[in-house]
Amino acid sequence: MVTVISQLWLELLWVFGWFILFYMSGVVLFYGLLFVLAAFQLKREEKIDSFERYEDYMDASYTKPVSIIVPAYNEELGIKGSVRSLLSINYPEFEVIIVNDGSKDQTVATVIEHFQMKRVKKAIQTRLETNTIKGVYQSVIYPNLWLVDKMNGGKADALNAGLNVSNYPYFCSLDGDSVLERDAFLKVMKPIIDSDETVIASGGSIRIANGCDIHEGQVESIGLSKNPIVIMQVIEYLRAFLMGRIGLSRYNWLLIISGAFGVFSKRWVIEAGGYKRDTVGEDMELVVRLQKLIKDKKENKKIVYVPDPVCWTEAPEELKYLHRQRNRWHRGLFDSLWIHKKMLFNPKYGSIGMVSLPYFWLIELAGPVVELCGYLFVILSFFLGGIYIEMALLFFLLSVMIGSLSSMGAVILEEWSLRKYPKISDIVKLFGYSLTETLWYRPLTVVWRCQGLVQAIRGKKSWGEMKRKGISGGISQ
Amino acid sequence: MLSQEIVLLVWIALVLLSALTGMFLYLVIKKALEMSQEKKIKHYMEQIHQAVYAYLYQEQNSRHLLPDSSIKYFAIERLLTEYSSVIEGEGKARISQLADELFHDRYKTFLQQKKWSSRMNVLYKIDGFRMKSLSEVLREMLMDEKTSKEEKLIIFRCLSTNQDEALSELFQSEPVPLSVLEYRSILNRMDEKTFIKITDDYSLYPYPLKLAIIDMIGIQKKLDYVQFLEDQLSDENFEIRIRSMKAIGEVGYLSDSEVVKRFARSDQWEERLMAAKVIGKTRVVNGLDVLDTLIKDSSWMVRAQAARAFLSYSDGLERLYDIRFTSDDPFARDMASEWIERGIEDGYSY
Repeated sequence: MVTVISQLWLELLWVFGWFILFYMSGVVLFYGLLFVLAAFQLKREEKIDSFERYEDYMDASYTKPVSIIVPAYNEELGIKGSVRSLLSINYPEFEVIIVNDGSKDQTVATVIEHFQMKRVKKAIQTRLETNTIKGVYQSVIYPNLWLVDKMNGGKADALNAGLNVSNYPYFCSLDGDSVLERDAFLKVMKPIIDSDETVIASGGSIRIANGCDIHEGQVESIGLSKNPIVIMQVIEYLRAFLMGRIGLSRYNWLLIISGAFGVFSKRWVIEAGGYKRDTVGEDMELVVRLQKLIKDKKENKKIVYVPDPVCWTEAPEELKYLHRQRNRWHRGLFDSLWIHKKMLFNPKYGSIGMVSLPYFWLIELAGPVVELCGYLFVILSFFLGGIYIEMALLFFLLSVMIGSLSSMGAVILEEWSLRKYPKISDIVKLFGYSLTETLWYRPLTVVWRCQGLVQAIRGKKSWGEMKRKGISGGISQ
Repeated sequence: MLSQEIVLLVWIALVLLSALTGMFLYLVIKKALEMSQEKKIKHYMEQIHQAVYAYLYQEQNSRHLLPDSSIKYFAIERLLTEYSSVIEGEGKARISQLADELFHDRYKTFLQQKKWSSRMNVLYKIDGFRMKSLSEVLREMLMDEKTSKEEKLIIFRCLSTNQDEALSELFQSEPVPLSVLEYRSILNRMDEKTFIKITDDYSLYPYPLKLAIIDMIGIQKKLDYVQFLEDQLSDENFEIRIRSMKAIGEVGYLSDSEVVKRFARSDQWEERLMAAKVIGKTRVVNGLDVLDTLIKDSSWMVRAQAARAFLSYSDGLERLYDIRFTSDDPFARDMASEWIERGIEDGYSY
């Protein structure tokens, strides 16, 4: 009896092992495909003089005005610097709307004092439901700077309030702690302007600011941090943006525009119902909803992604905070996919339903679970020996391809096309660290993401705090 | 049992790894070479800076301005690019002249290359230096099916800068129209004479170009074209009507006030919005009476625009106070209050 059960058990394990291996091979092929797509796209755009490309767009009569919405919750340290850097961006017509989401610190007072804000009476068009707005302020020195003071309601609620107050047809949501390149808006608005508004949302690349030299909210010189955790995140971002999004954007399969930097058509976002308030992944959820709306209305609209890095953000430097961030991201991913589960494999939604969503469900969401099982399988195989060790070896090789080789590919894409890192030593470091990804970094993120998934399924929705250093003041080490 | 598969995978992984490493080494070496070339270019730029300055400002020729290596070409190219963004008038003409002399052959070969990005870069340079000598080549490229849309746009811009006579025909023979904004950037570079010629063939153009012409009249406030705009107001196309209204608002003059009344009664809120806007911009006679209706409009945008338009009339603020205290429409009262406050802030007094 005992032997029958153990026999059965081993049989099951064998099938399971093969399932993991097939799954991983599928992922390897899909990543390979994305790499090739991205390489072709980047090759085409290679080395075009960027200044001359945007010169023509600086004329106010060409561009569409943009409202920049900055939700702020307890950001008294960083807010001055980020707002100052925003006011100096290179764009003909824009307004900055800080939305104080019921901060418990001195955020409001700091802003009011520093920018000489004065309370104004403004008839607000309530197109999206939000928590009560306590007051609207306008700066005396910068007439295009607004402050909305409202009761706490979360990030999505703050963004919706900003949308209600905004005056312009396009808006950009921005995290309080990111630093923009001066031409960021020209670059990101270009596809919208060029397409006569066929493009309804456009997102830019995000890079990690740790290690760069930042003064007065401007990136002075680009460098690489010495912290291995940060270097691995730099590589991850390169992979996500250069390989993932360029590949997906090419056929309008895009489902993510990072919350840190994206421009949207206000009309479309309002029609879609604004940001969803009770999810941790409000940025992705909105994009999925926009894609759904486009297909429901059968309109020829697009969401695009601009490979040029335009926004620099602070990455967590300690495992503890990285853990929280990844955990939160994965919960957000689960939420967005779960809310729109009816779109999955629904031919009505075209390639979004048939390619993009399956990719996010099967590879992005379920991937960590399968990989975690793979690690467990490896451990088990040491006890079982024989064929199981060989299968574990296959698993290891496949994860090297998924983790290390694809990361090395991403570093190559970066150096081939955008070349943001001026020093050769930085590039060599990036390449060297990518080799080690499978051995330590990847397993860590896999475990965190699995935790996130479990929590999401159980329905835990807290944000998790992130320690801020106040990036605009100077993070250079 | 699985050893074959393992060997195979190890091989695949090794091949990929060495391919990636190979590519990486290639890129690193390329980067190093480029960095040293960059250094040489910078060095040469310093050497000839004086000569270029003397050429541009003192009209002195120099043997330094006869490049014989790509590094020298790059150096002169960059210096001229730097100068072309800061000098105007006579100096700019001298830049074009020098560029035509030095770069004509070089650019012509680049334009025939297969690589899209190097063709694009050269086109940007031709545009930036306002070179005239390559116009013939550019026109041929426009006719070529293989030329991409992005290239065509810059070519059109170059031809427009040179006030090319063939533009109208080229616009008409273009199989895939550009976007409105792209057309605008082309029209923007024309002088008055060329623009008149272009508008003569208005009815033959693709739709986005028509919109761009209307927009351009507004942006450049071409008073002579108000009649042209008013003619477009009866077009059956909604977008053409709206844009023409908008352009009239920009020009700030209207010959016939009846037109606004018709728009104020429209079923589409966009047309009512434009009516409010145009009244504010042109201060047309009897405009305030129309605004009295529009500030009670069902659309927030129309109400806001109407309230704002009141302030452009000398007795507008007074009328807004009337609405604030006596109107039966609470939305109109709210809107009036907001704009009274804004009006006072902007130094409006009565």
